[in-house]
Amino acid sequence: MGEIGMLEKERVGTEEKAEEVEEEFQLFLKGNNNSRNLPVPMSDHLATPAQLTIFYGGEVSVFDAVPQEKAQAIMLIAAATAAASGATYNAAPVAKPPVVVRASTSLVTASPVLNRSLSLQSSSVAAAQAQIAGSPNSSLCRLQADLPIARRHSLQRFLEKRRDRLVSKTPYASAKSPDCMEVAMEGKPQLT
Amino acid sequence: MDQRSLNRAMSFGISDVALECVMGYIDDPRDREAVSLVCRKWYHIDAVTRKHITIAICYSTSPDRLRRRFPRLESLKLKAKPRAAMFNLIPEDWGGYATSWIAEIAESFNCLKALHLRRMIVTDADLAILVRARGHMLLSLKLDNCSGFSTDGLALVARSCRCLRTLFLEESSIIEKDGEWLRELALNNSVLENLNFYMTELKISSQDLELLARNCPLLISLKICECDISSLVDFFRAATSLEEFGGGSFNEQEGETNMYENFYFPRKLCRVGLFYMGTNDMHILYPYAAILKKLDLKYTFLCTEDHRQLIQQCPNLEILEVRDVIGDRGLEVVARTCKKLRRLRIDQGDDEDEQGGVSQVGLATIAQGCPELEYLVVHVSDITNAALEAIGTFSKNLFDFRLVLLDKQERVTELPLDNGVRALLRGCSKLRRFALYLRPGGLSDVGLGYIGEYSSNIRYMLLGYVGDSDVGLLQFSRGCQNLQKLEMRGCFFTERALALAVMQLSSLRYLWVQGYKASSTGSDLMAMVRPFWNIEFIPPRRDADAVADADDDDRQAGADSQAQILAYYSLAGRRTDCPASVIPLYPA
Repeated sequence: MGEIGMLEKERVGTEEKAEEVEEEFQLFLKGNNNSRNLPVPMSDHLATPAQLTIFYGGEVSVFDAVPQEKAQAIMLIAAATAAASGATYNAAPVAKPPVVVRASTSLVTASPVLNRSLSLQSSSVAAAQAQIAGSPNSSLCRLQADLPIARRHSLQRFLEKRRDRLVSKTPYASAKSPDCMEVAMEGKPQLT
Repeated sequence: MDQRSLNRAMSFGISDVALECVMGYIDDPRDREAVSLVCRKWYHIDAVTRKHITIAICYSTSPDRLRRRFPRLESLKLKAKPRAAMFNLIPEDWGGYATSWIAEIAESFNCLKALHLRRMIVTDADLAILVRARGHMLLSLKLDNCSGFSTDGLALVARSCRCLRTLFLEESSIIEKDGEWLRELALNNSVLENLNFYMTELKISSQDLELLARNCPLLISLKICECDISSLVDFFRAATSLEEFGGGSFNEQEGETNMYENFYFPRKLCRVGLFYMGTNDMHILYPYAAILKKLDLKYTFLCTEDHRQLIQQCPNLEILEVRDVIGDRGLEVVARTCKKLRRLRIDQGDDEDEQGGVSQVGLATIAQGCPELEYLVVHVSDITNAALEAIGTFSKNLFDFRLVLLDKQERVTELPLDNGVRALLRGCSKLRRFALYLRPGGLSDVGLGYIGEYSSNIRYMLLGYVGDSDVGLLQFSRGCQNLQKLEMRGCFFTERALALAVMQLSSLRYLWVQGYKASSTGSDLMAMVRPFWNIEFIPPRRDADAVADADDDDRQAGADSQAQILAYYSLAGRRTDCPASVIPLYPA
């Protein structure tokens, strides 16, 4: 209820706010620590305002001439709200992208983008949980479960072939043997 | 009026003709960049005389822009997918399609003789267009770590590019269509010098190789996929100019221990790497050991002792590539014997030998014994500050240094590595490429600050699990004046700090990050929004994707699901070919 109300207000204030936002955006660009001294193509960045369609609670609202930044802001709010309500088990923030609006007149495109951003919130929670606090051992294990040291693909393939060969050569290798290949068989492979 | 017309013919008193001659001697791209900024005249002359361009990420510009500025280009190198693709971290359909580039090459680049595509997607259709237009003049074609084409495409290249001196296909994923591409190459080419299809899964016949050797007397380097060494006897006899050979394979049959008794390599062979070479096979190299300049043992079955026995006979070795099975004891022998060593690569193996694994001992020994080292990449199991200090003291020629601390040992002898890293960076003043991949506690914020302070010449860096907090990152980003490309993994700085750091690194043009502390709305990243700076986001992979890939033998099961950020300067605006797994954030 309250949400729809908010959206209505947004729409009313859109025209007034649009210019404000543009100004803010321009200011942001000017104040930018842009050491490269590149020319700022203003017209390219402020894309022509497009139609924004919102499906909510069984109702469809269409807003014309919504500037990109405003649409982006709306989507960020929606995404944050969805994340806050849906992820009660998740103490640490999950990596999410700022949602991007594709300027379009088609009715259908708005919702898939929204859906996609929302479904990203519920994706693998184990990701991006940085447990720097806590004992070094457990943090090492946890981080390495999340981000194990990556092996180069070519080397990975070779090591797999090597394991296959050793298994076929000495499938019943004994515990102790001077032969270095059999020692390798017994050694615990560091699979990462 | 007179003054102005005079200036058209002369620039600072130098005629155009003279300028073109002089510029022809300037090859370094940074010098060329400076030259092109002097004035419009010099920009134009640079543009028409520039011979080679490397585009580090193809989305930073467009084929059209390239053509407009450098219409007379003779050599082009294009790269696309992030380096992480070689470690199975990038979705296959991420992008990097060569189609539009090849279309432009076919249409406009009339002087192009050499093309190098790295980590791109190239189709048979692309190759057809390329060879139809440029086949008659192509001298060098490198499809390096590419995918999307088949042996049919190769056959077409073989038939159409009869002047090819170099055909390079290393690590590409090529669809096998049981074609005759190698035979076609052998029949159509007589000037081939370098052929490389190392680390591919192609099926070839040794007869075709022999034919190639006979028809291409200038063949200097051949690196192939798996093919039994014993079937290559005739090839080696015919390839009289051969200096480099990689690939083949050893397949010992039970009871046949003398299979390689009377084996002869070409007389000039000095760069070698043989698949699956075992303890009982390595004698095959003994007659050549003394002249060997490059030895690749990464794909062999040798143990630590074997490495010692073989390398002690190679005093002229300049390039050595091994797995960490070489151990500290193997490195002792390297340090003692290989005084001319320039490049050493020690990759991560399985736990293969009790004596395997490289520690601070081996590292320090190498630093002291091999002062000519320019390239040193090591995966270590243990490390101390003193070892890094030793490198700073002795390895004065180091240009590229990368250290990965493996997770084989729970406890490492000495961490953090702040002082060692500082000593290394201060001592190795020629360092241009640097990677440090540690673990939590491996480098403190102070140490990360040192990296920023003492990396004035470094252009490329990979940092893994370094620093304690955002403070370290911000301190780091105040330095690194020449850092152009930065990759970070597992550092878990906040989104906001990442964005701020990017804005401070004045030379940064490319950033790749995996593993960071996200903000609650994901909007902190937008602090680095600026003109011409493309920002792309690869979200964490869903569980379904990870499970599906677990069935694919080639990919790591349960692969990384952490989000990634990729950002790079681009004159071409937002790219239009993102798959569903890549979200362009800016420009929107």
